[in-house]
Amino acid sequence: MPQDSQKLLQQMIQEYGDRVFRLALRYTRDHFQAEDIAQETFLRAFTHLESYQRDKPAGPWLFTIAVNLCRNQFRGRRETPVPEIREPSKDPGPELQYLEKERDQELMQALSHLPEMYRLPLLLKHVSELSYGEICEVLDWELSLVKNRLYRGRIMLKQAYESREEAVK
Amino acid sequence: MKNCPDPITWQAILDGEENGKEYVQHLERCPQCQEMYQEIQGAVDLAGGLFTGSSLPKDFAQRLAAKTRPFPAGLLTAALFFLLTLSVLMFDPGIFHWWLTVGFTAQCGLLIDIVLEVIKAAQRMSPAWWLTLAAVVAALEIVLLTKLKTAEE
Repeated sequence: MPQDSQKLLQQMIQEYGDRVFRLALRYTRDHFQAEDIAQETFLRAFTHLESYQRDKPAGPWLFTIAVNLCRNQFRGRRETPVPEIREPSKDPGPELQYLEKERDQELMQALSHLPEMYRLPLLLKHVSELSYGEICEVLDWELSLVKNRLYRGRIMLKQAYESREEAVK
Repeated sequence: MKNCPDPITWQAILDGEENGKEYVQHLERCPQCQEMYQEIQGAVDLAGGLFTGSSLPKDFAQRLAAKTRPFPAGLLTAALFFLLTLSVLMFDPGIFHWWLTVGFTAQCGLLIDIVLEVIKAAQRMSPAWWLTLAAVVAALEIVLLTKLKTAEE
């Protein structure tokens, strides 16, 4: 039984590890905090394996744990933008790399202005690459609510990004 | 306009969550829907920039496996018992001196005496006492073994 659990854990890390980490990275904007959250997610999953229904994919269950950990990390704390330490881009041109980084920072700044109820579905959709149904499971929302908030979130993000760009010009 | 899909439907089509075949012809004919579609597509594309290709450190799985390895409770208990015995001997090396000097015959004689005394005591005592004592010992053993098993799991 313990060996089975270990094997299952390794499978989960292989399949979802990077996606859980990316979600935490975009949420916290800190590489070390994101790694801690990813580690805690899998440790909790391991200690509560009995509550995981093995006939279902583990993704939504793992992302639910990760989302709760992300929320707890910032609960009761005023959100301050932390510079994200990014992996160096594989693109060759330094200019392109710089522009890409600038754009990314602008986008993250725009995202940070969105309320969490719009930010989370956006991150789950675009960073963790979950389907509508999976987002419903993770956030425990109705499908219509997920669709609605995803739509509003995208429009708000676009508006915030464009207004930031105009301000820079 | 009456048959125009709402923005949520266009979004679902762009996300690949809905089959948009039935709306293709409508989109070609309806300028309002074209405008809306482009606006949503722009928002979807921009949000797509949130994706990051970062990945976990390569030793992440190994480090986590080390943390989740089962705790060897039985082995630890045995080691602790051994250490305690050793420390008793170190503090008072003469504690077993008598036992080692009396010789093998005397040791056996003493053990037989103890067993005989226990049997005599048992014969004098009421069977209810012995049964209770045996039940208590058995219960303690079960509790101890269960705890060790749980810790090992």
